[in-house]
Amino acid sequence: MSDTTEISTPGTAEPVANPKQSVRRVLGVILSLAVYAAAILLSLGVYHNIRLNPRTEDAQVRANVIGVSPQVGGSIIAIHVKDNQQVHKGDLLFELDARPYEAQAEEAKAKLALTELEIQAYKDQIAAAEAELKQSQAKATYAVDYAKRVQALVGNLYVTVDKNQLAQTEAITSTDKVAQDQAALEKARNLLGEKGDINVRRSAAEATLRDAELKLSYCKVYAPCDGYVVNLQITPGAYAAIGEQVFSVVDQKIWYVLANFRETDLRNIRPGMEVEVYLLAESNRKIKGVVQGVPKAITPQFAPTQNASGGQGILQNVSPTLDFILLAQRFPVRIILDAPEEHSFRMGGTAAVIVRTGSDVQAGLKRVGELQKGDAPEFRAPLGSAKNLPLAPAP
Amino acid sequence: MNVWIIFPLLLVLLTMTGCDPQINIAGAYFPAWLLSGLVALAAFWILHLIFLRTKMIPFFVPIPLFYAALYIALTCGCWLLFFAAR
Repeated sequence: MSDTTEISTPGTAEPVANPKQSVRRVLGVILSLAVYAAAILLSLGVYHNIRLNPRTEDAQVRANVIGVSPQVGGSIIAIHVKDNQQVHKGDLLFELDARPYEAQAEEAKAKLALTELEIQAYKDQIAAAEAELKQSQAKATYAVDYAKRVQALVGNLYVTVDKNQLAQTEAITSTDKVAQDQAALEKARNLLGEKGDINVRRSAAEATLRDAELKLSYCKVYAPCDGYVVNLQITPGAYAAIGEQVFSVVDQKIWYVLANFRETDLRNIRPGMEVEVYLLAESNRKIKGVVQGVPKAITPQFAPTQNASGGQGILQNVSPTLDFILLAQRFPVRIILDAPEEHSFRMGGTAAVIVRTGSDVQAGLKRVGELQKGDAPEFRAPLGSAKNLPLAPAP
Repeated sequence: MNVWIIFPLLLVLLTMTGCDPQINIAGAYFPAWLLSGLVALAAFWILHLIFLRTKMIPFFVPIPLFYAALYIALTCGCWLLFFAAR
């Protein structure tokens, strides 16, 4: 057989003589057409699939992180958790030296007791003022009547002018004394500080005590949510300032992925769409997620506005460019991960995501609502009490 | 022939990965499209050997375009088979 020569010059050596050759020729054309069609259709298939299911490998796992900071300053006397430990909402995390705040609470309690005594004193004062008023009223009644009687006798010369004048003066003086005592009573009542049923002196003292007790309670810092302690690099003895973060707690309730999608993909992505998430940490395991939202803004890269803050007047400074290569900006699409309790997510972990644009958006939105709801109210630490402080009980 | 070992191996590897767009091979992460291209290259080579043995090559019209289209079809087919979102 001279196969090699046939291959090099097909159809020229023996045109139609070999029936095998003609079969090959027909087969060749059919195969060629089939391969062209397959190339076109499969390329379209890939394009369609990527368009319908935009994907990115530029994604990271995120969680909500709470920086734990005390609401009062003081040196830390005990830390009850360890780094990376799981904590539950309301667990005692650390304690500050409470002595200054105990002293404050004690002072406030003493002031409240003193206020009670003061209130009693003012009440006594009111009683005294009332008695004084009654007394002066009685005196005034007599003095006025007496003056009238004396006045009537002046014409008949039964009394001297001087006596009459004395009686008139006495009447005026005692009437004024009534007004004076009434004012004194009013003043004593005001000093008592009662507005309606409330004694404002007591209210103020009680509020001061409550504030002191609250500050005392802040000396114990509790876990604000269920989660994990991270970045604990402090030991007892360190000073914790007000509002300064001592360490962090990662909220374990809700985990999400921030997937940076090209702006060209965003057009098809809507909140509620189902997402397939693959974590580098758990490869080959499909994790379900739902698009929670697509951001409306990122920091602009080009032509930054340099106005008020930039100090270059109120007009923008735009440089002319020769760019013909445009880099698509990426927007972090927030994807909430489903069933966080089944996985061990870590904030900062690398992820790859595929958004299923054809999925049921309404069901997805419902699921987002379910995953996001159930936020229990913020944990309130129990109030510190001045009850056990060494002070005699208030009267 | 190495191809006869590499190709099934790659296929097994691919089926193991499911639909994960990142494939870890000895610590390096390969994107799905790159792996599809490599698998397609192996399949392409095997098909080329078959065409050579059956003496079909001279009958494809035109040969360079046929081969380019064949590679594209194999790559896209491989991607759709293993990495497409379903």
